[in-house]
Amino acid sequence: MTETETRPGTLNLTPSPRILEMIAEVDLQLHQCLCELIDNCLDELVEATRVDETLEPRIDVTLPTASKVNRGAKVVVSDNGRGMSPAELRYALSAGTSGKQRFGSLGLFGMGFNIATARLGTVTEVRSGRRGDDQWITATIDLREMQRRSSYEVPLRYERKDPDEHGTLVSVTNLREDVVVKLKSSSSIREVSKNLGRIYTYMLRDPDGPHSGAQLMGGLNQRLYVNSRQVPPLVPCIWDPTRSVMYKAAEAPAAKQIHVPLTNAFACMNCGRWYTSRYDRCVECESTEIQERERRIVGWLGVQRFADKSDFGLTFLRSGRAITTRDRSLFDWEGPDGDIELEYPIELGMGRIVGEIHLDHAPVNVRKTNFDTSSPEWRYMVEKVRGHLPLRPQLAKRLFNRENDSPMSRFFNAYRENKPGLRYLMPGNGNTAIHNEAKRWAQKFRSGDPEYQTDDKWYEAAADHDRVKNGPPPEPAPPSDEDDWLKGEGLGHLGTAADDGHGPSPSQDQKQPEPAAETRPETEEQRFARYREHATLLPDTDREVRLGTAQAVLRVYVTSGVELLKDGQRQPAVVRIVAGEVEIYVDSGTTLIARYGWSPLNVALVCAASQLKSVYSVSGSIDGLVTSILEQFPDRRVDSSAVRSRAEMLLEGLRDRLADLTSKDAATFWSALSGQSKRAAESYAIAVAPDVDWKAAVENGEFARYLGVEGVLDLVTSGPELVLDGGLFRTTYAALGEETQADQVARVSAFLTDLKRMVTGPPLQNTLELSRLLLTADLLDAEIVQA
Amino acid sequence: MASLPEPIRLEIFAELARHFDAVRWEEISSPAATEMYDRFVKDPKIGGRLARFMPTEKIRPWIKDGPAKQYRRALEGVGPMAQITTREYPGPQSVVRLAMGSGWTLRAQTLDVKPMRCLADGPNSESAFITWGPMSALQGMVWHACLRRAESESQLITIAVTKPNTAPLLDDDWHLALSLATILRARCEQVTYTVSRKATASSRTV
Repeated sequence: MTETETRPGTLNLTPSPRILEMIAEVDLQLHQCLCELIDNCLDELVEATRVDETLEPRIDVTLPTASKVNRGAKVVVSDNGRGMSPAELRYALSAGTSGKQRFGSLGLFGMGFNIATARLGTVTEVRSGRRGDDQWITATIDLREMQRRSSYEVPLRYERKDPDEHGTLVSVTNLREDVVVKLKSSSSIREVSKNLGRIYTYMLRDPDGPHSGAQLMGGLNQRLYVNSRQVPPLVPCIWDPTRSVMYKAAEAPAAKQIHVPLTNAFACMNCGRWYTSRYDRCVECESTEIQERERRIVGWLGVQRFADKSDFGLTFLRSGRAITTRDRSLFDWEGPDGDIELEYPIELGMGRIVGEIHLDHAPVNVRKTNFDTSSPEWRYMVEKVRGHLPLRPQLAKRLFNRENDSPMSRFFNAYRENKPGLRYLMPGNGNTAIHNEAKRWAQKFRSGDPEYQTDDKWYEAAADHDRVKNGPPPEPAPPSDEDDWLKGEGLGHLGTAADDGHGPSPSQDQKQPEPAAETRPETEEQRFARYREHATLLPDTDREVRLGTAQAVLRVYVTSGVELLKDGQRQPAVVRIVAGEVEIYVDSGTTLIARYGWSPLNVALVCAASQLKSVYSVSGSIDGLVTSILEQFPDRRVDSSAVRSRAEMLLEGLRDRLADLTSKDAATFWSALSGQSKRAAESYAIAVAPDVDWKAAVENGEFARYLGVEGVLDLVTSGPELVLDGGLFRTTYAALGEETQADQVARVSAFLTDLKRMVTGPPLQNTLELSRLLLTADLLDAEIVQA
Repeated sequence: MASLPEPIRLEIFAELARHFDAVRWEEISSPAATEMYDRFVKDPKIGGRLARFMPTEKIRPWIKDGPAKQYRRALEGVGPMAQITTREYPGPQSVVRLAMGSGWTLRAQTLDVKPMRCLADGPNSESAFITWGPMSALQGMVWHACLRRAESESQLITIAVTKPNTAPLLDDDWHLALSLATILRARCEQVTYTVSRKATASSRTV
């Protein structure tokens, strides 16, 4: 034997089949494993329903229940797609050979499939069959057996099937111990279902559904079941795209489509490398399988109907599967020095900007739990959707001399504040935003209650807030005789629209009961119907409340322009209790509200308490009953953190606005400050921006961004002509006499002194004082000139 | 109150069928069904129209005992709603073939409902009683198989447990059905019985 004959020319590096079990060490949660299998099904069903309109697609996941699970139990995922031929099945099952894994469709039956099934258990069966076939073909992948035989060959089995049956079924058994432990938890199936509804929201929802924004958000109407129970998609609860607020004198709609077409690119189907121009052979792996792929960034941005501390942010999807949800990375701004600053949310940490961005062409990690955020595809999306400048316009202008004009920036600016009312599309109760209530309604939206599918309920609550707070809008007066000539000229719309202030307008008179009606006895039904005509429902009432041991629906109406009567006497509030429903009507003109600033709900409860106590046999004191009801309205609670956040928002707004003014005449403003305020501003600047060039900031007016309330107060007292009369505050000044001028300065100063107390003082516990400070915040807010 | 005119009855049937199709009514749990009845009663297109012809408290039972039950039969191609739905099961003949074999045919005029059942004729002039439905209807199917067995010791009886996809029934369910059938000397089969959209309808259900 020669030397060359004994020396092999090649080495066989086929790995031991043990590698298949090793890859199961990738940390995947139960629902993530199922996703890998469900992706295959969806991939097939989306295509199958496109070619066959009679197919009612369904994917069934069967998990062993907590009481039955053991290592011999089965996890099954099946679909009623078109099934596979033996050749297709062989191709599909070979680890890592699927070109589909990287591009286009979800399906992979490649590494993802092998990792997921191995993670669940050591024996996997894949059974498939097409319509017309009379046999199922089943491949059994037994990882231990493959190791024992040191072979990748897997046995095939054939079973009789009806020619009408079709689809693919994957079942995994010999479950791993930790999977068994997980399934022993009684909540695990519910959790899996919830996660799947979140991840496949787009795949499972109906693009023609009744929810606001349905068509804008789209969907593929697929069906997924876990243990025969339908998995409901977690549909985003957004305002309708037809709603809008004003921003920069233009309408900013509450939801908007994102569509960024990209040039087609060429992808190596073997290794995944992208090329911007056509190549015949991949320079990376030398494969010739290079295909042209369409690329685009599509989706939408919108505003959720409720604000929340954690439930907001963007969903990024790849091939219809949500990869990340509640993602806030686009709210971050990366400064020139690489520091990351979170720009949204700003108020109370409550956010409501949401959206979905489909990035089918961008790479994801192996576990599909995140996109590769360092990839050019991701960075390009960030540039198009969010832009590189700060979202805050003042900051962008200051640092880069221009504003961020990205879609996200527009949403941020139009909806950054969570103030109740239509101005920012936020439900309120006449006093505060009703975040808890709005979220409770969102739960009804998610449970499919038809009355909560559109945003009407939320919109009414925002409109009612304005109505309760500002009173009903003035009734348009009918055109006077003087306007008749305008009408004659076809210019009737130019006539007087508002009340002229000389007593009630004729239309208001018409609303009063006619004299003849007084002679006829009015039934109770008619009387309350009349009250309701003049009433606004407090939006956070109209719900069940506990009254002692009973439950009743409570509705509180605020009336105006109608006298509430009981036994012929005018009342601040009247109560009507019928069949488990309590209606309380409160006169908005009553002294407690009009002169002492009580909230209508408080008046309602105090006035109705004794009646409620006796009707519902509530034991204990009146005070206890009122407190127990109020406790059921968390939105109404006043606490020191809410007051402080509100104040910080106001101060931030003041600084932004002031920086505009100081940039034009820095020296004058600077000289109006006391030495103490100057030193405080410098210290604060160094604390928050250690590398600040303070000398430059003083010269170019940037110092305003670091001023405390004390500094603003200095400007009001030492340089009122600089900041009043529409500079920083609307307050009229120059045109007034000397004494009145002093009053005006004193008035604004008083607000600012309160603001200082809110921002810097120790946390307040006294509720009355907290309420007073919130009222001051409202008054001051109304005084500040908006950008 | 005036009686419900036929054209209006048909319109309400169509409106309900639209809802039933959209939610896949045959899969709805009973709490979800209860909630949906409440919605139908409040719906101006359903309860609102019926209110002109019947007292309010009769509306819910009218829907529940009428169209809601009709819908399940309609999926089998039986009853007045069958023409209105946009979805259907493959039909009784398909069950007979799947459960008994390709030579077997449904005997005309023997089809009955709740549970679905009929007589079928085999290739060698034998006949069999067959009853079918999902696992949740097993009790009714077993009862009707009992009635048949009480009538005749020699009657061939098949209980076909239907499932909405090709995955086999859960082992526990299947063993229970098999054991009960064995007591009755009946055959037990599991058959895939999947609803599909009617070809003539648009692929959109709502």
